[in-house]
Amino acid sequence: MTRAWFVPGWMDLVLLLIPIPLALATVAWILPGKHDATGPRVVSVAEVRGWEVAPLWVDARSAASYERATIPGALNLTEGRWSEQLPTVLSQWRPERKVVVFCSDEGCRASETVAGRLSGMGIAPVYILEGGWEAWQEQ
Amino acid sequence: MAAAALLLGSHGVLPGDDQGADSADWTQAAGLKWNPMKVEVPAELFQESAEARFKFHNDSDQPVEILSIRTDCGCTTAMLEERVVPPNGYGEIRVVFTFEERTGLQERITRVATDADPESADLLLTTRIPAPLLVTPDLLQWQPEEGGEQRSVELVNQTKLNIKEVNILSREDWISTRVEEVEPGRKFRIQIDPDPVEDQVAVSLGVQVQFEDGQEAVAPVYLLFLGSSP
Repeated sequence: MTRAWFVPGWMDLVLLLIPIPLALATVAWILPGKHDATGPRVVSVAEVRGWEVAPLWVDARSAASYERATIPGALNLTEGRWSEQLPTVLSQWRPERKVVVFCSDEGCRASETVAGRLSGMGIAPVYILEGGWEAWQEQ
Repeated sequence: MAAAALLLGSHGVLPGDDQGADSADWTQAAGLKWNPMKVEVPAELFQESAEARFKFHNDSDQPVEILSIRTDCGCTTAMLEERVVPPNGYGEIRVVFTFEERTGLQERITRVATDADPESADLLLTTRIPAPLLVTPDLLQWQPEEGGEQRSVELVNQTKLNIKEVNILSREDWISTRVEEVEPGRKFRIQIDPDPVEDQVAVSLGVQVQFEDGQEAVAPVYLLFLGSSP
């Protein structure tokens, strides 16, 4: 006995239904603010200033730039001196405390790299400051 | 961007092989022709830096002055022989990227501004730095109520060489460690057994290995003990 390919049996229905919860789970996963799997989010200076609790500032610029001037309370963390600097950052972090990483300006990518590495280690929530140090100074 | 070092020399014309290269290979930017503007540099295990040379040519009838060269990281230096490029003159910018502790895909941008064009030229050095060791996870966290529970991390050798010896570098006498060989020369388990702590503290341990050829590598493991107050 043959069966038309488009007539669903019970197994076909199960197979057809499997993608639905998968798709829903994927949408929930990528919704902004719902899950950190989307990686660090970009925030503006104004947005951070509106937060009730000050974040943990992480300055991803070079040590020389950091020593010249930085956001008050910021800690220096660069890829090049990661193992030396990370313990200081970790000692100031709490699971509920937001971390905001910045570098020099819009064109600088160090903040993305550092924020990505922190997120990858399970530090959350981590944000990237839009416009970096330049934007902070302008405001 | 960090200001790059400028090494001024006496050359206005570069005696390179590429001067007669096909003009199609040259890209116009910042009032100069560049060849190349993007360089992918292969990196070997244990290599400490990568270098790229970006040649330029002034094909105009006016001199072009290089006003600034800025790198995107303190880890990169850019060197130039002559600031002013005469008409039909050639030159090059040598970029050296020092890896320090970096691994994985790296992109370093050197931005060059001239008096010939308000738009700057972005020179890209790309490299993928191999990591000889992989430690997972590289951050272990203890909640305040977890006291001094024992945890472990896995060390995987990502090279073709076998590991002869593993040592744990630590300045913390309240953390004891033990190394177990899971797969000879290739995979190890490191048991970490801390004493309970009250205040929040973060420390790092160094997993130091010696390969069969005598070369050494160190991979860090970070330990975070969350206290009731930071």
